[in-house]
Amino acid sequence: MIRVPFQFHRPHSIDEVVRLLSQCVQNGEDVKLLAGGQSLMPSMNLGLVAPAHIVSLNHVAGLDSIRQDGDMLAIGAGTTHHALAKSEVVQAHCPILSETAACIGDVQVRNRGTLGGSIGHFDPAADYPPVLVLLDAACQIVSPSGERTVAAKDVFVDYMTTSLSADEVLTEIRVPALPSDTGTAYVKFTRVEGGFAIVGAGACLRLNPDNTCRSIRVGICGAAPVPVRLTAIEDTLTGKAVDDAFVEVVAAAAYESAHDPVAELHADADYKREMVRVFTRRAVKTAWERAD
Amino acid sequence: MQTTIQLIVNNTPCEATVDTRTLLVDFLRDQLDLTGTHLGCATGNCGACTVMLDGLTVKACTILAADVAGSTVTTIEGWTQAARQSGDLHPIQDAFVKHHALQCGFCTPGMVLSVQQLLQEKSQPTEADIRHGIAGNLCRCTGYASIVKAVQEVAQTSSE
Ligand SMILES: Cc1cc2nc3c(=O)[nH]c(=O)nc-3n(C[C@H](O)[C@H](O)[C@H](O)COP(=O)(O)OP(=O)(O)OC[C@H]3O[C@@H](n4cnc5c(N)ncnc54)[C@H](O)[C@@H]3O)c2cc1C
Ligand code: FES
Ligand code: FES
Repeated sequence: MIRVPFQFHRPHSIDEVVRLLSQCVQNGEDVKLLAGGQSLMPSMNLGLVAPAHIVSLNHVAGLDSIRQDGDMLAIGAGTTHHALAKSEVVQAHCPILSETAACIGDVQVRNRGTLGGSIGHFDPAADYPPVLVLLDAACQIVSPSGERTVAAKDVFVDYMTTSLSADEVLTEIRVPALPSDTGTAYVKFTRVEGGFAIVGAGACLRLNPDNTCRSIRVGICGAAPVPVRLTAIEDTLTGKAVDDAFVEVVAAAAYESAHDPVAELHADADYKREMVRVFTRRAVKTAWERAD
Repeated sequence: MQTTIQLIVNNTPCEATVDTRTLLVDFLRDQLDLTGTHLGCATGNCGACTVMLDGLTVKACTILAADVAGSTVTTIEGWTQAARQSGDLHPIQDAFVKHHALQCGFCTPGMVLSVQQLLQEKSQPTEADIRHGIAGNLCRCTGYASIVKAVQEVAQTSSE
């Protein structure tokens, strides 16, 4: 049993969700959305957070849909990690996202935890954020004043802090349907299976027929409090021959970009920077192997 | 704050009034006397509280009872009852006993449900699949090797 009492709300539509959120905010009362509960409930059980109101998203129909919309995939915020990992549409058109979903936590966590919850919680070690940033994902956010679309990189603003305000709810995440010749990979370094990433690296690579780089994107977690994207070198690599030296250039840039790793019990900052290099190298190599 | 929920637990429709602070694991143990679901860490790490919610394994310490209104929950009690209609142990239980895949038994109900889910999805798992499938269930006694052996035997027997 959780110690601190709270009001529990079970709305059935996003309109109702937003109305409840804005009521609480106007009354100056602390309110939290509840999705899979895989981050929120442990925090409440430990007494780390004690909101006065909980608004459940688990009775709002349609929040877990996955659909292809032209050259985009539109994924409901309530889609579980399990559903993302198993989705044939996502496997076919954005395999890096299903690969990422499949390596989160363990079976039970994936069965219940959601994409929207992971974004809302924004642990700096979470696996989706670097991948969403490298995919230039767009987040659909509903608030009392209407809807807005925010680029993933502008959602993750600081350590465990997003740009969502307390009366806003994330409803949909849009990612590009990648051309089928794209090689993609997400790899993570954990102490044990089912653990959060000490470092995680994602890469998408497309080749030209002459084996030069057509495009590359890299996103990393563990290098800083927010996801790092290697924007500074991505464009300069276009047209370069893809070989071992190419991979080393990306890995070295990743190391340089790891300016502010969050030190933790199992990995101090220097070690993390080194692992950023190692895991970026592995991500790019694997993406290269998978590109055709 | 109190709230009323209707759900199906172990194939039986059930209506109950719960404090909104009640975790699903506490509801099952304290209000329904289904004490096979264990409470270990309450932080989603150990898996002792694993139950099936709408057919998928979840950790019942990370779910509010108030939030499962309209759902179907199967605990180890319900699963064993359904599984052993003939009166014998279910092959998973048999194999656990044979291979000493339990010692204190604290993790076992959750472990068995995770194994059940794994074999449902992959009837012939590799050792890596098995370790992957039970990653959310900590066992502090057996060292896992005996659990892996038990699961391998169930898979092998079922393929014969
Ligand atoms: C044992 C364990 C291992 C884990 N391992 C990993 C791992 O390896 N990698 C990883 O990335 N994560 C891991 N997690 C976290 C997991 O991915 C969670 O599912 C995720 O962080 C939160 O999603 P949720 O749906 O459970 O959200 P909740 O816990 O319900 O909510 C989390 C936060 O997001 C907010 N929120 C939820 N939905 C929305 C929405 N639609 N709009 C706005 N805000 C919203 C909530 O208010 C809350 O503040 C692990 C968790 C556990 C318990
Ligand atoms: S008691 Fe639920 S995971 Fe440990
Ligand atoms: S048998 Fe004791 S914890 Fe697994």
